[in-house]
Amino acid sequence: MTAEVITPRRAGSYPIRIGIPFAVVMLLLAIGPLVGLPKFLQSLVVEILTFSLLALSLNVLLGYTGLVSLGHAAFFGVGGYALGIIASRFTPDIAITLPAAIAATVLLAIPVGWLSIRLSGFYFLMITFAFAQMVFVAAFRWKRLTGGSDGLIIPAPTLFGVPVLQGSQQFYFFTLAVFAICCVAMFAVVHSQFGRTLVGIRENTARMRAIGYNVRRYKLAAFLIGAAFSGVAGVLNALFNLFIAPESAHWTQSALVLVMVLIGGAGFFVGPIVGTAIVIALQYWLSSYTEYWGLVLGLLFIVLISGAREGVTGLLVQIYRRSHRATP
Amino acid sequence: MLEFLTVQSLNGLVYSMVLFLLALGLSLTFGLLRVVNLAHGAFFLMGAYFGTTVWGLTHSFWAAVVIAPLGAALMGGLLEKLWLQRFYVRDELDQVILTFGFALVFSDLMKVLWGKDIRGFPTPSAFSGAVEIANISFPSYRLLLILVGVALFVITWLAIERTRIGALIRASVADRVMVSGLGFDIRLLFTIVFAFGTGIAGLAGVLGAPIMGIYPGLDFEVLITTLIVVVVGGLGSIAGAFWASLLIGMAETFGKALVPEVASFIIFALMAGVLLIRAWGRDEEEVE
Amino acid sequence: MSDRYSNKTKSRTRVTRRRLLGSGAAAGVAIASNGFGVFSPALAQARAIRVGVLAPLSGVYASLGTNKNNGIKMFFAEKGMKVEGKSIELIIEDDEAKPQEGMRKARKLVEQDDVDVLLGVISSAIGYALKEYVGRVKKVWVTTGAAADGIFKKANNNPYAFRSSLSVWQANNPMGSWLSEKGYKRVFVTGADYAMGREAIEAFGRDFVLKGGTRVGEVFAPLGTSDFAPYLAEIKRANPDLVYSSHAGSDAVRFVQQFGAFGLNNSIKLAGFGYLAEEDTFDAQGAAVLGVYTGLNWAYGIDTPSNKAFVANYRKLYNSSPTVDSVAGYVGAQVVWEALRSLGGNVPDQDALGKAILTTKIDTPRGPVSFDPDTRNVIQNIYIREAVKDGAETHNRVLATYPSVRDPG
Repeated sequence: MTAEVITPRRAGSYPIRIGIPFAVVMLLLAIGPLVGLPKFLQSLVVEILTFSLLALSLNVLLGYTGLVSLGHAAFFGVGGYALGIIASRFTPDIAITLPAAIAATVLLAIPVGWLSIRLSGFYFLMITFAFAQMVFVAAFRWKRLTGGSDGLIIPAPTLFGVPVLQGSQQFYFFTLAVFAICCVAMFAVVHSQFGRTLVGIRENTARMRAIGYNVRRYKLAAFLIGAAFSGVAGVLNALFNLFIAPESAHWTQSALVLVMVLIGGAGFFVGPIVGTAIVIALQYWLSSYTEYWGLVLGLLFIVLISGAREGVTGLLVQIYRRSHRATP
Repeated sequence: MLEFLTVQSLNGLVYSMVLFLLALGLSLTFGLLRVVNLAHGAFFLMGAYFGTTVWGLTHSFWAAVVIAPLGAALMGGLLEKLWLQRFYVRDELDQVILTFGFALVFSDLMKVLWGKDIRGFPTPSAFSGAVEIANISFPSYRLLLILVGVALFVITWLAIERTRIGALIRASVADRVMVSGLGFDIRLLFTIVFAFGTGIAGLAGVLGAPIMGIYPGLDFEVLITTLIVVVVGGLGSIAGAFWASLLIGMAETFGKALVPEVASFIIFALMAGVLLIRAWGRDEEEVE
Repeated sequence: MSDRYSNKTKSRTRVTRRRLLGSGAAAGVAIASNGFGVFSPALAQARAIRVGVLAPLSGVYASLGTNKNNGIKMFFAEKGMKVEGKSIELIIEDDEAKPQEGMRKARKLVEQDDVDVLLGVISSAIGYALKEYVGRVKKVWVTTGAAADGIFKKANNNPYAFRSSLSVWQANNPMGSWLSEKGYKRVFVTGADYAMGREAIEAFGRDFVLKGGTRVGEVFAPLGTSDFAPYLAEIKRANPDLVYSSHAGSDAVRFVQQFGAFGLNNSIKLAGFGYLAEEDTFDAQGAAVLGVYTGLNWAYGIDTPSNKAFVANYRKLYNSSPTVDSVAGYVGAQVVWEALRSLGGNVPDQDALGKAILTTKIDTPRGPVSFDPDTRNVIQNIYIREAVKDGAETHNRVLATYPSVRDPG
């Protein structure tokens, strides 16, 4: 579970090697609806992008900082709920709801992160889990504010009074744009001096502290960044479904995101995206054939962890390298 | 008022001992093997299902109590021997993921084998009545659970502190390499302890079935509660698990009776509080 | 899977284990005890009418979802997977009882499979979300679950969304007056702390108090509580003559079982929402459930020819007792089928289908069923039941019937 160690030499070429394929994929997705990508596949792409964003945001903590959180979906949920509550009580204008919802997520993440980063390893996992479950219970029980277990219906969004993001096509492009921007932003973060410091902390915390880094401040910053992008994903998802329910913040949702990251490979920037696509596609098609798709997921886990430690992405990279060595 | 205290203390004690039965196996496994076994809840449910099958065949509660934990222990031993053993050199997260994978697989396999309906079997006829204690009638089966919990605590504690195999386990916890250097088969010891831990989980499943019922999904519900107890008690400490069970059992019971509105928060808040108190003022690496 | 019959004249759609396509007369035979069956020997024929079914087959409601699907499959099999000579194709998807996954599957059924009507859903949260969705895409949906009162109100009446199951209010409100008339005076109310658990208590409590009863206490336990002892001690302290509970599923099993273990059933009557004591909880509840009064829109022991035939056929087909969910699936399928028949079995226009369902009046194993145009909620009989020993098994018998109960919306 080690993120690719970024050496100065590779730091220059890496963004280009990953940037070009990324741009190509984004472009292909962008012209998809124009050349007849079926509507249901568009919906699926929207979901995969949204959850990829969530998984990427988790990987800032997991892959780069070495903090395994089992409460990441709390921020996903809070982002969605904040948007839903503001939209249904005050205004569905996204000029207000979007920034307000993300601000709310970060506001919650400050105390939660400040407390949680005092722990590490399995204890960090358990305390993030505890906080997330408290968020879930609040969403589940606080019926007057959140709609309780029945969930909350969200009014359709507007922008300066004009209805926006109404058709599924519009929403598709909106998601694609948000995803691309967030991806670039997160990529810049983890490949900056700051990101390298995070990797350093993951590799050897004591050493980083000894040479004068304020480790806690860096961890808290990583936590807040992760939470903020998780909130963005939550907002996207709430706008997509125009509905939010407590399940979004439940620990099983957090576990599912963790699964996505680990299956894709936490050591690679694109790992979480690959993992998300695999898990959602698996869930989508496999569950048409069998209700025991959890069994398949479990087996996939066992096989991956026993054989390919760096997830599917690691496996693909290995195959790619081997084939390139064979044909010089 | 006195009656309230007595009744709810008894209730708290019963719940605490159920929690302890769950936590004991996990704590023991972690103490020696350093593995957080996320399939622990699956062994609990497996024990309960084995229990229903045995009960269905023999209509004897006691046969189920004896056979079902053995079944769970056998499965646990096999898992350790065939798979987990190769993972002791890997990092913590890998082991967590592996056992989680098995938890998912077992969960679905049990659905295939035993179906999705809620099942259960009755308390044994000798313990189906109530006992009068200080003018309060209390189900005798629940008193039995208190006895089993306390007895298991004392026996395990004595076994680890006072017997030769216990000394071996303690030595292995302290220094694995040294123990295997002395010529003991530490791998066999690991298998036995893991099997014992899962067997205890299975026992908890059978004993809990008449009170909790048996249904798919119970494995994960139980896992969560158990993890919380074990974490509050300090991973790997049996005495810690015992006192944590009492703390959580009592807090939940009195919380439910006195402030039902926040009952669902109690257990999480308690865990977060304990973790933070323990971590306060220290650097995070020390709280491993 | 052994039941995936190969399909010689490969039709446009792939045939999966969740796809049931009927056209042969042997349809009924094909549904074996495990409830699968797929075949399509017919030569190029008109597009079948597609019924999309959403049900939780994994997750917390997996057992309910499976029962519901059994009822749906059984009904369509009885009709030979046909209506007015036209084939019916069932496409079944697992909603996992989670809104995210449920909505994903709903979109799949509507946008990919192009179904003509949606049937199913148990989770009320999915129900709320799906009702908005079917309004937006104009697709008729008949729910066989989603009992939360708020989903089908006058204020959010939607020409495409129907509920053939029940509202929480319908099942609980009659219990208030009936138990009061039975002479119970002091009630302690309890349930799971979530929307449905509280709605049920409210619907019961209003009439009970109006008719002179008093509430001597209430407590709501977290959903999934494993130990009810602390609550039971509080109940005992309040000294009621009646406990009314809205617990369901595993909570119902534990509550009833522990209620008996603490001996409360010796001095206090236990009554509640039908799910407290239903065919699928009896086995795990044991003797503690005997004598419990509950209200619901069906009872195993309804003494009508159509219910008796239903129960007998179901037991023969699935080798287990039907539950209220099996009946809900069966009746939901019946509603859809009758509406399709009235349209001559043609691939329906959505507005016409909505109107057809609204005017449907049918006799079901649960008794007469019709729809309220103000809410599109079902109008039906509510049965007051008692759990009694019936040979080696436990079943509900009918103590009283409240005919044509209509949710005020």
